[in-house]
Amino acid sequence: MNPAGRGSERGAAGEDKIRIKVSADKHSLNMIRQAIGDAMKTRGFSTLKTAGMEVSVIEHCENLIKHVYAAGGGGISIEMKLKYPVAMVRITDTGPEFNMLEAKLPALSGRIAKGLGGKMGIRTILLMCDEVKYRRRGSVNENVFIIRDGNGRS
Amino acid sequence: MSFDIIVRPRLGTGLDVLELIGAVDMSTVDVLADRLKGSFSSGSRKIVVDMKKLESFSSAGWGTLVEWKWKFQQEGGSLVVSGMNEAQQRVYELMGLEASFSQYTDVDSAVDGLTGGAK
Repeated sequence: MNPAGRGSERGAAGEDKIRIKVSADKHSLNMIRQAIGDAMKTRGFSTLKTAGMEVSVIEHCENLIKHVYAAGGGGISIEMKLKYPVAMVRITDTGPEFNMLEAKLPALSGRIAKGLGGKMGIRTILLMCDEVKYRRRGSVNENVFIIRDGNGRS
Repeated sequence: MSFDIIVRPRLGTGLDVLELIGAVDMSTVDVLADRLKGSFSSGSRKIVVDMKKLESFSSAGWGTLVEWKWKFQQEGGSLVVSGMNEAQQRVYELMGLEASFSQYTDVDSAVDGLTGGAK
């Protein structure tokens, strides 16, 4: 699935739809970040909200690469729907069923005090996004990240 | 967006400023760990991680800083960050990292903070 595929169209609600398909590889992360950044900035989203979505998607893709596609192969599909002030990104994968909203997250303070990194990705996503949705569709995990600009949150 | 680190030792202080440029994620975080290891091996015990030219910093980067801050602390040293942008500042605060990392607005302030003003 490398090189990455991209496409865009205008949705029924006037939102811009942008699709990205990349191989589940750490070398795809830069392209994903740039695609999200370019798309949101050119549609008027603030630097803070754009960075919040970039970080959230990168964290999720890192988790997919590390845990779902660790053996290599596989792809990540990303669909953005952008209509200021709402940015929605849907990410699908074909890994085992996993709902990050039900994940038990360890207390970070104890880990940090012991010099232990890691276990921060899901927490970052949940803190930076205004809304995170999950559903299992057949053999596919579908995670949706929503960020709204102009409401003082990211 | 590539990633690079410029190491700027402050002679006679045992302090290194690591200027991060670009984006840190799982594809580049090993570079950060290698440079921190290099500073540690060369005897530096005070580290300023300058984020002013950093465009993106995932939790892989924060995790590496947590691990290396602990190692420097075990040797009586310290690791602080400077020049965070608004998004990095938000993660730093929301994740509760301010309890672990001192942060400064710029490198000079950070160096002053670590050396008591002796640059």
